[in-house]
Amino acid sequence: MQDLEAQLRLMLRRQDAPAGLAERIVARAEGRRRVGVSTRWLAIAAAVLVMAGIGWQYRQERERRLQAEQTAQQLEFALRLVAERLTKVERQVRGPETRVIHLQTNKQEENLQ
Amino acid sequence: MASLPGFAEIVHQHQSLVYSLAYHSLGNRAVAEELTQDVFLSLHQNLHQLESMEHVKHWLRRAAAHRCIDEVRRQKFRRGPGLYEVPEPATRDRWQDPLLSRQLADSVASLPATARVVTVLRYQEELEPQEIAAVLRLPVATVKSRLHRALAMLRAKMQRKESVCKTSKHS
Repeated sequence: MQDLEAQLRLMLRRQDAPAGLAERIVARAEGRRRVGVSTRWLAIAAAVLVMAGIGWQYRQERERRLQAEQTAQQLEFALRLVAERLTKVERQVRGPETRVIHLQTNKQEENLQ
Repeated sequence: MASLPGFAEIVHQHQSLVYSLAYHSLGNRAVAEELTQDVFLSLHQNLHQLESMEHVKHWLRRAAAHRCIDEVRRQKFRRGPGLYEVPEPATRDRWQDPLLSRQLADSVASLPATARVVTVLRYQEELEPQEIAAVLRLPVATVKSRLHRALAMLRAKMQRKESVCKTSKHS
């Protein structure tokens, strides 16, 4: 054991990296970068799809609400029409009866006199 | 960022620094290569924050050293202290005594995680204790004491191994 430090220097001197290591590292880094880029595009595409889906659903919901409102208005109009007709018919039906009643009352008055 | 060369050039320039640090700390080529790849991939993500090659070199040393410490601790937890593999062919012919080399490598591999990385940074990268302290974010006094203790442990282990060799030769 002459000089431990000298022996350590000799034993621990730099080793050459295995052949092709640098190329493998660069290829892996490139691959990872490409995967990173495609992942980013995938995320953007997914976000656009989700936004489009939400928009479509919102539009469908609005159309459904508008249609429901229109139907309600039409129904209301139809009911009003029916109600008016019914009132007319009722008036027509009740009209002579009232007269008859009036006649009867007149006759009763004559009798009383 | 304008003064920095491209990522590929940085990898070519510094791959041996990171790989060697990992190999000497972990004693396993496959694990060292995996760790080197992880360090450079992390650098690739953080390259926009670095301004000069000195900054890149310091960043690489720090990232590699911290990962090595974590990996040594994980390995110790998993299967006890790992043994050095047979040295690479390029190292073998330059080394005087293969047995001594093996013994020293085993002794370094038996050091605690931080002491091992401190020793590798000191003798592979020729860093001063102040520089090691900056890399590992430790007080300089701690680095000095770890280095001192690591050398004492290595010396004791090597002496023990030498005496065992001598007694086995005599008998």
